[in-house]
Amino acid sequence: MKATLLVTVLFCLAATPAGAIAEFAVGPYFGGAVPIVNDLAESGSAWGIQGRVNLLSWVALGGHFNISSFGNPQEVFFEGTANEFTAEIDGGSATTFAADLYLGRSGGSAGVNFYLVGSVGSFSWDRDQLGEITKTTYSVGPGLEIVLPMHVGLEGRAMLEVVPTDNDGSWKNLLWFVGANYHFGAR
Amino acid sequence: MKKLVLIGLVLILAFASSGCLITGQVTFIETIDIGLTTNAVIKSFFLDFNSNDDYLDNKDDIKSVDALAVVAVLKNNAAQPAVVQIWITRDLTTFTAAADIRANGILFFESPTVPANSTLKINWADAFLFTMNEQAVIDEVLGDGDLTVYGIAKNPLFDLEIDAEVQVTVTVGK
Repeated sequence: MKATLLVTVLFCLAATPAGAIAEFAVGPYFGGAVPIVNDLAESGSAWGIQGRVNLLSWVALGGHFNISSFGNPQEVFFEGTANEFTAEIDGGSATTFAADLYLGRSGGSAGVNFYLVGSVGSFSWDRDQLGEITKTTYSVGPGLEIVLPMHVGLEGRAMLEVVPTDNDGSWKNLLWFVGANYHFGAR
Repeated sequence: MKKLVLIGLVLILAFASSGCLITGQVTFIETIDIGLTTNAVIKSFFLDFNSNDDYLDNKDDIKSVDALAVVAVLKNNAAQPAVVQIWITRDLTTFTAAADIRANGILFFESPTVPANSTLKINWADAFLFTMNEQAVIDEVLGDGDLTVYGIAKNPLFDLEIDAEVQVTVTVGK
């Protein structure tokens, strides 16, 4: 996966003549992070900033910085006894830096644009009790952007984020967000 | 549009084929029912994870142990403070003397000082501070799943009631 994305990125860069970059977009986003089958985290918020450069009409390269703040997981201890109590630990927050590859209409053309995005990056999950762990993250998902004539785009996206851990396991999160982008150089 | 959907499905299948997509982090809790233990009569407890349905359901699919901690309610019945210790042996043992337990066991938990005639609760967040030598228990979770647990105190004279549970989070998957 990582190698495939890297080769694709290098191919696109090599195939793009100097000066052909006509558009780039940047903007913030806000949404949610939903852990999938993970008892050590609950749903929380996600926010970040992203940017992308359109290399070809159907290909763009970008990057994003994301912070997912997870909710605290709870457990009931000594259930059914006089000592029963509910306790929680810190769900923590995950900071991600990633490179993005967009396939589809992700440029600044006015109208409704649909695309697919794949990302590879660094995922650092910091929790009070369990410390900080950094792994490589992969994500993929569809996005939809409505670009207005004044070059402002309103975007919605959903991503499946997979963070392989040791021993063939992984953490998985569903990320969703809405954001706004400004498209520089859009015609 | 159809091509994009196809590419997306191919990428998800690539994730799935790596095996890591169909895993999850599952927590189970097992009781450590030591109860009343004194320097005169030291109580042991045979901890068998195999009696836990959540463990048994996932035992063959455990890939790793991600978190492990001892939550406890500790009652000190004595007139002097006590530091509670939970020791383990990885086999079935029947030690009756604190010296033998220390010589042959592994210290798994040590509490802060419990004042005289007082009760101290160790909640989940604090449990990680007082749980130690987790690898021995992790090996048991990944192994045959049973061990012997002893409740004593750091000080020679003690009169305790130990109600504890061990919380274990594992990554499971096919």
